[in-house]
Amino acid sequence: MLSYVIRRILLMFPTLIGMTAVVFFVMGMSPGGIMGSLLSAEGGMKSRDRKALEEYYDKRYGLKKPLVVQYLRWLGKVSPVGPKEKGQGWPKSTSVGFKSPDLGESIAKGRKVSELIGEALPITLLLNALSFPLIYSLSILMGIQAARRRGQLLDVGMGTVMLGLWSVPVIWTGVMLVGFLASKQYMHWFPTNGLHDLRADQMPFLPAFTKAGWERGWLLDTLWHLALPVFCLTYGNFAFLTKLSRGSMLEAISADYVRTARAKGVDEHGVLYRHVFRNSLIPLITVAAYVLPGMLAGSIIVETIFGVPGMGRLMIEAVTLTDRELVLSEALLAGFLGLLAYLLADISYALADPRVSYE
Amino acid sequence: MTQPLLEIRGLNVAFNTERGQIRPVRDVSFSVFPGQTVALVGESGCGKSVTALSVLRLIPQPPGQFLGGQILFAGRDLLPLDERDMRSVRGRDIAMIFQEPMTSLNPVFTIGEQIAEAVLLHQKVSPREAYDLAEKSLRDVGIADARRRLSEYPHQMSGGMRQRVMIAMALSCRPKLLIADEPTTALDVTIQAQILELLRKLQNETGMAILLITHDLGVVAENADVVNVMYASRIVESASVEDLFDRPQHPYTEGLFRSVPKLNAPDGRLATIPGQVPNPAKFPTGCKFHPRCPRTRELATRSEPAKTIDVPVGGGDRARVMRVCVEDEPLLRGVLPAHGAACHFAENYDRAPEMLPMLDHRRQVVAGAIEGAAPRGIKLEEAIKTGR
Amino acid sequence: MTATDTVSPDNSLLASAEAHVPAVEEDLPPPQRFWTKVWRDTFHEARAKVGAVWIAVLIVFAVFGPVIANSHPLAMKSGGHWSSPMLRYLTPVDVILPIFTLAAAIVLFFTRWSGGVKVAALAGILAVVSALAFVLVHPPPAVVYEQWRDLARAGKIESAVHAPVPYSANDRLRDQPEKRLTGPSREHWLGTEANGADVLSRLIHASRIALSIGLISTGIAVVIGVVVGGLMGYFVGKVDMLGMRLIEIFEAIPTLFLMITIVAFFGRNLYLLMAIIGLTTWTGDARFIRAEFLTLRNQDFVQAAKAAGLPLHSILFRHMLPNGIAPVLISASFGVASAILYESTLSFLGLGLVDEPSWGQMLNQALGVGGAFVWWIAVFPGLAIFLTVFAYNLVGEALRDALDPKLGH
Repeated sequence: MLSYVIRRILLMFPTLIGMTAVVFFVMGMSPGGIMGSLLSAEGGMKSRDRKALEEYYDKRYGLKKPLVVQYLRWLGKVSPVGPKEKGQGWPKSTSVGFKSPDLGESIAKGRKVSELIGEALPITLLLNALSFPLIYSLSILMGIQAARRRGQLLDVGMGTVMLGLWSVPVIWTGVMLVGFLASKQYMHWFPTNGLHDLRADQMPFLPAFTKAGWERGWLLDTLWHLALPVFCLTYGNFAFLTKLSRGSMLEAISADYVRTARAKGVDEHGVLYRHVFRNSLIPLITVAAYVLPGMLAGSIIVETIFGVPGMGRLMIEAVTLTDRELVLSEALLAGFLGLLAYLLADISYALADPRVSYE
Repeated sequence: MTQPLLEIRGLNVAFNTERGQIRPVRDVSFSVFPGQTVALVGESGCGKSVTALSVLRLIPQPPGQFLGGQILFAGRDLLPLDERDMRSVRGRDIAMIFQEPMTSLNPVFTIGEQIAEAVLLHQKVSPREAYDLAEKSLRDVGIADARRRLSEYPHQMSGGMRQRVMIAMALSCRPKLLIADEPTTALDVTIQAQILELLRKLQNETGMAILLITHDLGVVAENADVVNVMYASRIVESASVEDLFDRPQHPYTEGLFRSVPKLNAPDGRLATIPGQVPNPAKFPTGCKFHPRCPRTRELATRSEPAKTIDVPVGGGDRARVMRVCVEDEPLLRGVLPAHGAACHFAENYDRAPEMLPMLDHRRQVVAGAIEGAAPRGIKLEEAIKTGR
Repeated sequence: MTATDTVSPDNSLLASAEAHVPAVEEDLPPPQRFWTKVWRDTFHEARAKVGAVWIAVLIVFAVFGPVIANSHPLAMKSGGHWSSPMLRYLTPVDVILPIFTLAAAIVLFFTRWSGGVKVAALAGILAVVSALAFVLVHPPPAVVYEQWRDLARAGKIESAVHAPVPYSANDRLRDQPEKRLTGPSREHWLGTEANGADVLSRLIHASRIALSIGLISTGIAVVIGVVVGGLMGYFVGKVDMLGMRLIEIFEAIPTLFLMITIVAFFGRNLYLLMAIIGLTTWTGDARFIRAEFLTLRNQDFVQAAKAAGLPLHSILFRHMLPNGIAPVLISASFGVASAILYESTLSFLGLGLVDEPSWGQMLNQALGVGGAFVWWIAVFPGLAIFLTVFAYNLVGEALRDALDPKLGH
């Protein structure tokens, strides 16, 4: 297993290189070249900013050089091992070695890319970390219920209902939720925008009674702001996984080993929660490899609608501002996270199913 | 006469499907005595597996349904028992092994866990003791290196070994009756012999009875004491194994024997029973075998036309058969002492009494054979040679 | 009745159950052609029928949009003679669509040609009709939508036949600015947008974009996927390894991200959009075809075809493909739904087409000016997207159930 994991990690590198190369060349071959066309609704950049942008790119990559060279230079800068300045990194005396990756600077935002990502990434991870367990636990529960009541009202038609739920577009849900539940016009049950209340810094962490009355506290406040975005990220995948969970439960229940278990005298509870459950988890785990990247895409939409400053919204900004550094770094990071998700899913699959071995 | 261990009386099982109700088991009655091996023989689709599953009430209800009848185990009717009591019977008093050892074991649990589960369900022991008992049961079925095997998974074992594990699991609580549903069909011939020998040895040691479901006459010849032949949901013949092989009374049984290839027979086509087993959703009227039965056709050629009738026999063909075979379904009657058949034209059928088979026969051990060391009893070919 | 009376307690039940049964099994009905049976099974269920109905409605909207929702009257009598402004303002595409759809329906359902001939015929018809349309059809370059209403107010129109929804998608109501951004009313059944366009009309015309992007992108994805997957599954070895690396690279790229990037850098273009969606979603189909071909290549009929010396394209496309196409068809149905979702999302994010109406773009306006929520621009376009996606998903599910051997009834 260990050798398999190492092999997969090593394979990640060529895949990531291939992927970022695709993104790089897409940008490079566009009509505006690496500088990108100007799509902001507000109009073009001022010529002075544009000049600054050109100078920056030229210094870093050499705008006159062919695209392949520019890509390789970017790769060299970004990779933790490669050409570097003497006196930096390790070993200090050489011009090639280990160094910290230099993701560049976002001219449009005027800050280092690594800082921007460092701020945005945890937020997106928080969103997904809240959604993912919710999705799985709820769908497993629903699957068990469907298996227990097979043929009855809850089960029949649930397939179609879940399909319908899965078909509801996230953009619609987000807009409707914001419009009806989070705006000042209708019900203001949820905050309109953003991740935190304006006074968030001054809030105590936990809810408490202060002189002014009941304070939400930072924790609750953040959760309250996250409630609607998490819901939007969750419901679609929940519907999909519930269908899968129900299907795999039903399939497991009619398996031969269940008949053997019953013949041994195992009761329904034992059959369901011991024998069937573990077997039915297997397809759910394999599917996680596809759920996770889907959630990343969902984050893009949800963060934009709800004004949450995460990686998704950063991606949109990067692209609409045609900030090449940001776009490339985002692509690298998103690709890396995706591949990591695949690897984790494969490992979990091997752990869950003893028939699978990667030797 | 001792009391039968298992007595099935008039068992009727129905399945309610969206296309109507089908009855895969009708009016089935037979018994199993302690220490006996009773074989239930028939082709696939005749209802023998449903009968076996019914004993442990493993038929899902819905869509299954028990329509009357009794299943008496040690005098107690199992059908009206509530689920809790039934569960204490399963695995402890009556155990069952199945045909496909690969899929019959849970792939995500170790062998040890699965056997220990059976032990813990019915015996008050600690988990550690359960594991030790599991190890012992593996050794009893002849698996070497039992301790190590406990932590293996089913997919790491061969088919024969998996079936041994199934047997070990079934026998871990010393049941009085073992139901074996085609235990060797999915195995190689050599492994088959080993498994059957193992079953016989364990039977000798524990005195348990075996209800053996099979379609293989060779297995029947070497292992069974009493044979019940099933066709299209009914028992059509019931006798001791020697009697059955000596003088089969039902044309279906005769057909089965004829279709077994013989070493010294002249070359030529293998005999078969023409036609196909009927679909339970569309059983023929009267005797279920009449479309394929050579006896009724042969009799019809020699009978007065009023007693015959022309009927379709499948595949677009028609044949002339005895009218009574189409209109009247024959029940099991004791046409010979301790030998029942369900055919209007079996010897003495008209005068024979209704028969509820209660055969406590045990087979004769072949003189000079060492107990448990060699297959006892008749060899199939000899049986057929001495018969018709 | 003789000996069969008596013993069995429910003998009567037995007898009555058997009374209706013929003496022997009937012969099975003659086997149907495989795809006919699949078609029948799929649309036998209610849910597939519902989905198909909505899709049919959309097709009608897309093809006959100019007749259903148009500011130009269908027929008008002015100054004593009749004319048809609608016909005059038809664009080439408006003309191609009904003719081609009719021809396609005839070719697909009423001829017995083989698959390849049908595809060729459709392509040919499309080419001819398109050429003729672009040559012959010339609508006036400048369109003034309110001219008919002005004429009507001036009393110059004696009688007119209007489309059921008398507004075009781009009619900005320049003569009635007070009607902009109003809710559902008698004149505008689903309300109007901020720029004056009638919501219902835009909804109807947007179906054209949605359907065309859905079908063509999925078509591109299927073609690429089938070719790559087929080659991988047939040749195995190095070709397979190379193909797998290609698939992994494309799968590693976050789809939406790549689409957004391409649109941002290359600009908005309908055909580019279709190509992008096709290029980012082909990997699933490739995997399916590869798996199918891996099993098929070892089967006897393929060996026979190879031994007979048939050319490669014949083996792959005439012999193997029809046997392995099933999962791709299912994936294609779901694929159309997801392509429509992608287009809506891109439009919603402001990266879609500018002058063509699109449901996603309409949804974007809902949270519009100053954060005020315009509910009729949120509910109806969103509902349209949902119904369309749901419809294709329903058909895909029904198709999957029909093709799944495990569920044979």
